[in-house]
Amino acid sequence: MTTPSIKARIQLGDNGVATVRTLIAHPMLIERNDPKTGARLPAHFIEEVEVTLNGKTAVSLECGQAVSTNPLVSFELRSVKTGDVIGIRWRDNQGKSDAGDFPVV
Amino acid sequence: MKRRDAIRNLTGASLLPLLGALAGLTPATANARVAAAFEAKTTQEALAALFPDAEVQPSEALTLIAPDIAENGTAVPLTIRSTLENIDYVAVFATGNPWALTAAYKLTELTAPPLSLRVKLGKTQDVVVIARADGKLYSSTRHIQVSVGGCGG
Repeated sequence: MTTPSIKARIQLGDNGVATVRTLIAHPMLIERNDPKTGARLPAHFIEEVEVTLNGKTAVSLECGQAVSTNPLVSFELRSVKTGDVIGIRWRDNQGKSDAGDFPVV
Repeated sequence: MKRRDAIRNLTGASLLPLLGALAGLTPATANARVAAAFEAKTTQEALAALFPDAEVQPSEALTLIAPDIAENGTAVPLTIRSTLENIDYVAVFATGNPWALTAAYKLTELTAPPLSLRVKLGKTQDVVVIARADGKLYSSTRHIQVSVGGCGG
């Protein structure tokens, strides 16, 4: 299950606990000096990842600059059943964003 | 420094009056507080911005799973586990990074630890996880040795 920038793998276990692993393609650049010119380069990083279950917010993750390139985030959701929709949305500090809906099978 | 001392310093420093100046600048809304915490350079400043006057206590019920030695600081896998109930907030601090606050989870009744993500660590340092459950703050610290720093790009 993918969108241009979000991949998600959802494993529904016993008693409604779903393990969600999501990989977001993003450079996650920190504010730093250019090694050649010494100029200060701006940061470019995801500020917020929000995860919803059937439209209701389940977890939101606020990131600093020190989250690694192409963030791989995993967590567990409770009371999930087949047919539910897990939505994943991110927004970065330069106003870019992406969102995807991932059905639970 | 011993782990316990580090925690004690952390909690003690959050009460220091020198942070009063910072608090004066901190806007009242939760979002602005979080933004200020991410801007803060040190763990103490970030902690004071996030949780203005709460006391943090080390807890065995909260564990941070991470490698003792990270070959490459650009992607150090962290996993947070806990047996605490009703956790609604989890913050990860890399004490030796230029900006200490690395990530903050807001949890609802639909989620609970384990949580995992990968972070950049600039040098060998302590990583502190603080979780809020039923209004109380609990912490867990782990020392991670970094062979190659991860803040170059």
